[in-house]
Amino acid sequence: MTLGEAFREASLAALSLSPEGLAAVPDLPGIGVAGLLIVLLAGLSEAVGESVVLFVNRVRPARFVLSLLVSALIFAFTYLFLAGSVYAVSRLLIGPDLPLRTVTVTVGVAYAPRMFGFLAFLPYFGQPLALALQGWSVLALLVAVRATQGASLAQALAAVALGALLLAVLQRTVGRPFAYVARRLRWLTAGVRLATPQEAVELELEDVALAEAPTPAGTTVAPRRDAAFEPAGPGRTEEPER
Amino acid sequence: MIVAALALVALGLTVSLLLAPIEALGWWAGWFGEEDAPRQHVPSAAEGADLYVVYLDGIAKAGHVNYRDVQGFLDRLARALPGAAVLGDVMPYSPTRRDLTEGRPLARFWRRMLDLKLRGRQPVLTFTINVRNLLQVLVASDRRYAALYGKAAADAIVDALVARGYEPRGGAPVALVGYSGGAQVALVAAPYLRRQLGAPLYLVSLAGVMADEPGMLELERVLHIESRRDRIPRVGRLAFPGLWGIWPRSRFGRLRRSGRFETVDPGPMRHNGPESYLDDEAFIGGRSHQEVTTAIVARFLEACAREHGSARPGLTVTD
Repeated sequence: MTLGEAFREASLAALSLSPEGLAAVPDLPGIGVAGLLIVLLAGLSEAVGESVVLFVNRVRPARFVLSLLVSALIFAFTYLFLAGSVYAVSRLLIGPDLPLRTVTVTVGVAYAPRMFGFLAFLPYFGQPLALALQGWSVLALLVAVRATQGASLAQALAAVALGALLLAVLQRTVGRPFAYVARRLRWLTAGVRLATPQEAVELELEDVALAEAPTPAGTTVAPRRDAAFEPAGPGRTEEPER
Repeated sequence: MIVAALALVALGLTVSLLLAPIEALGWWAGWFGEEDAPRQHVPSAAEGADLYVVYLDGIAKAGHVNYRDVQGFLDRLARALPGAAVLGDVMPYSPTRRDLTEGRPLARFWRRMLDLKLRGRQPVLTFTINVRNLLQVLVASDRRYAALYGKAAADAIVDALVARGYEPRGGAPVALVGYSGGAQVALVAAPYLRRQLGAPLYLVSLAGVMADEPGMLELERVLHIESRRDRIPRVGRLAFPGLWGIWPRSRFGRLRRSGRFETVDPGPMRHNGPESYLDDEAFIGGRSHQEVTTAIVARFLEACAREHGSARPGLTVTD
């Protein structure tokens, strides 16, 4: 079986929420790489779906592409934390002999629906669709945990929910430096401090007002256009983390 | 065969939806070159008007030139409000201010569609104009894109006003009349118009399809005209949960509770086409639909101008 076939089998199993298909996923040849590919593609696709923030900040084309790739890598890093959390909880709830590889592979494959994350770019429908894709992904994870670990529905629900909770706690405690670095990395790659659309328009309006306002000497102030990457100052909201 | 055709339509719609925000994003990013220089102020009879009325047409609009029924309504409104300046040349569905029929990759296609539409032929095919503009309304109603879309629309409206002699921060009130999706464009432009004009802002929603927008709280008063026979605004209310009336903190809920929102039923009228609000050849009680609609709008706008204290003797409803 080639990598492409493993990728297709695993993706279809997750998308169709097939217990039989997902049970067979850990034994597919080359599934480790295929699972990682699914995660990276999901990350890249979601980055494209959320690329409005790059447009709004007038990020140059080369940096735009680089920003998408960096976002995909950050997404993959987050996946590792989720897999670790689900693994830790599963060992407690389901059994201590659970192989780490099985969990990391099933969690990765369960990201398959999020490969359609680019649809978040759609106006009006995009955000509900993104939410639905995340729900689909959680369902795939539930089915995968049940199918590969022989868990009951309650155990699978608890493993996924507590795993996600553990991830959330980690993100808000020991993961804070990581979140900080990830945000800085995004800004550095984009070349600007990323503002939300509302902030960007507000900043432009402020710039216009500043430029039009006469100074005491009768001169005018040059507008602040696309300030290069700079640390966030007071009053400037930071982009919310994924 | 039918499944394949439906799949093709779904794919086409998805691709069109994915491309729909590009114009607003490209406008913001400056991809389409420097935008047209603001139109020069041409002294006109509108100089120093008591009230400036900006009409934003429905989703059938293809360019700056108006359809006959729309132009008839605007002319009638201008006659009814002699002290007001009535502007109807803003294209609400193009952040770059370009007609569909000029300077676009698909301009030839849109010219053909417009030509067929004006001749009343191939209504299903020419409905693509409406679909294209509907997608822009969806862009304007998505909070991620609304700020950019609103800013683009506000800039276009300000330039049109200045060209007609409006003096920003001079205090003259501005009324937006949004027909169907034009009401949504008016709402997303409202916060920026308030800041750029520094003047009271009113809205007439003519069978408007609107989302729950922050712009609702920027308006002095809103008149919503809706016929019981017209289903489109009801579909719009279903599509935007903020208008369902179950969220007490929604902008729409706050607007309604403030007493600044009123609704008028003009009688049995359709959303568009024959027997629409602007049809001058369909009648209710001896008056054409267009006359009825104009009278309702003019009465409201006169009251707004009077409330603002800017009404001169010339600003009286004559229709």
